[in-house]
Amino acid sequence: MQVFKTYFKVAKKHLGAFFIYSFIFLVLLNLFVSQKTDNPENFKTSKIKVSVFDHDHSNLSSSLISFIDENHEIVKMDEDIDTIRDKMYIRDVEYVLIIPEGFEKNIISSGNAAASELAQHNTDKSLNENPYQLESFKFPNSVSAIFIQSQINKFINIYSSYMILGYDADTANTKTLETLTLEAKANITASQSEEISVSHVYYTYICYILISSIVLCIAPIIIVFNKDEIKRRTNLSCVSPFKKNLCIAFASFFFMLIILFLFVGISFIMAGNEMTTGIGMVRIFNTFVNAVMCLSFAFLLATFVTNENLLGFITNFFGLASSFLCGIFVDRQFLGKTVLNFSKILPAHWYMNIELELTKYEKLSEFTNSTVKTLTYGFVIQLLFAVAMFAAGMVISKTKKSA
Amino acid sequence: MSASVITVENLVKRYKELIALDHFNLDIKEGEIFGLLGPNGSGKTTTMNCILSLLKYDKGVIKIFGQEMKPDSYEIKRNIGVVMQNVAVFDELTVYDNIDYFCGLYIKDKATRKQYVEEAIQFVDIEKFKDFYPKKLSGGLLRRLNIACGIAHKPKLIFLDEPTVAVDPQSRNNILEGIVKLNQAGATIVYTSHYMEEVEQICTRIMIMDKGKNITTGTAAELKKMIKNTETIHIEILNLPDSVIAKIKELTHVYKVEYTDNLLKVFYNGGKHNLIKVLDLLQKEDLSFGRVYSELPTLNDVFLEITGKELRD
Repeated sequence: MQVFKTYFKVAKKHLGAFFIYSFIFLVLLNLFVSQKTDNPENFKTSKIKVSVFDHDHSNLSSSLISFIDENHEIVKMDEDIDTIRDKMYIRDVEYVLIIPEGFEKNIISSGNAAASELAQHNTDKSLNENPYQLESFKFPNSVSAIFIQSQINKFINIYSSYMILGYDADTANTKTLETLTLEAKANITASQSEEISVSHVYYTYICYILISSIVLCIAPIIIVFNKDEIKRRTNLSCVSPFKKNLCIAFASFFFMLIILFLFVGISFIMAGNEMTTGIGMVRIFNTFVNAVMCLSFAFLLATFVTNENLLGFITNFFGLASSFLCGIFVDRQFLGKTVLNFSKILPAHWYMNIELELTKYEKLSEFTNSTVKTLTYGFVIQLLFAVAMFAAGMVISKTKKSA
Repeated sequence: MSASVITVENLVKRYKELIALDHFNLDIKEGEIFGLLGPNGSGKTTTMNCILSLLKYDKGVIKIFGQEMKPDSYEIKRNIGVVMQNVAVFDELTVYDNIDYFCGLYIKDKATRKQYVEEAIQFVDIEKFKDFYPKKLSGGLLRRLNIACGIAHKPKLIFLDEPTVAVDPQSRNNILEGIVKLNQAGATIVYTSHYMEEVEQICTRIMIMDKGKNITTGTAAELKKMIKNTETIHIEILNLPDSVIAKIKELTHVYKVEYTDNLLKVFYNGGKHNLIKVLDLLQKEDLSFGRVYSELPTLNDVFLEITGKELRD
């Protein structure tokens, strides 16, 4: 009990790194969750606030207005220069278009070249050599204005092209709108198009933070108890080394559980109902197995590392290598076959195998035999890593003792 | 006759080809402050480690409190306290928590332990620092904390391995006084040190060891009697003629005379009023002299004469 109590007194002094890592992790995780769960199919173009004053009242002008209305937000206001300036100053409107009288008539009679010229916008009416040219008000160097101008130009050019081809005004109007509504088809790769759950993102990244927090919290405490002088003095007491080591092992396991519960608790807050399903429970179990592996790794490091800087270096190297090579920080679809084959020597690879397998299902009852096999392999191999690391630690410890 | 607390018979310990302890024997009685003297590599630490079952040995028998000492002799260990040369405390715990931890490895009862910890803190006089962390303590205070951690559980047998290394003179005196107090309170003490003055000051019996062997054992006075030299007289004198040196050599109890760098050293193996006799001779020869002083043999002289080397090599 004395060793157990002292373990947590020493632990208190090593919690700084844990809190720093956890805080950074949670902040980054929030960003990752919002980014990853964003569906690319929900993309929407931004709308610009536009005012249009139609003096032409033609088919072309009304088509142009309905085209603008469809793609942007039309703001109504009085056609008065002071009102326009005021509204633009307070950003109630970003672009003002004035369609002069006889605009359609001139387009039809002048052909394509003239259409291009007429579509040129001018903000100073006195400079308008052609009275049928479009007039506009915009902010200097405004990207929004350039964007909407290019759309209007495109509309007028297509419209005039149809007119030249011999279509009547109504058909040209309809055809223009049809042409402009044509969209290029973008294929989204399968994994991107799948719905990504918050719990998946959380339990992907938790693998990295568990390595960092468990190793950097627990290994320094074991190192303290392993210091030659402390160990010697403790071994001289009437507490047997076996009992002392058992207490340290039990305290380390308990500490690991506290860290695990903390992160699992946060996942319940972030992912809510997703965690109460069978899949959620499998995720928690996978994380528990991974945490046991991290604990073994901490024990292994504590048997030969005495310097905290070296411990930090090894932990970060292992954590980052696992994260980049096993598909935690980088999607596996972007990793080469060689990299993925190499990553099999890391426990995180098997953790991620399970995590990725779980994304295919919503219920435990949907599991196929191959899924069960993947999960079993993943759990067993992670546990084998844990046993191997623990055994290596024991061998090093025994070798040091006999030396 | 007091009972034996530690008995070591024919202890042999080898490190591959090197024989660290060569049929070593030791008998420490209850209530003693037993000094273990020897140069580096003489086998002091190996002896302590074997006695405490921290090291396996090749041959021999070790008994503590009349029972054979084994790594799992927890009942014996309950009555042993060890103060190691290197400070063995947790940097992460306060002074109080450190003593409480090490005391707690022996004393389970919370109330008793609290009382013992308080007493240990008072004993080494660090009450003002009990909430301090070790990194905030001076070298002397750290040593005192190290002692408190080793003795808080009130052991009957205490091993002190060079507890005054790198300690200022005032702290050293406090520590030595403390050791004597522990002994007066009933503890048997095994004390190893390079500082023979300390050993001479507090130890009731001393063993000189070298090359893993017990060279000799006895009280400081008994050890000094074992050597030829009883007194050395030093006289600063200019241009001492060889004829006078020859006359000094002929004085009774003088067995050796050295004259180098205007310093005359006269070695005696007994006799009384030797200083007066040699000064009389110099006056008769009409020779003037400077500083004059007499030295009694030290444990270093004992060691030098027995082993042929300095104690602190």
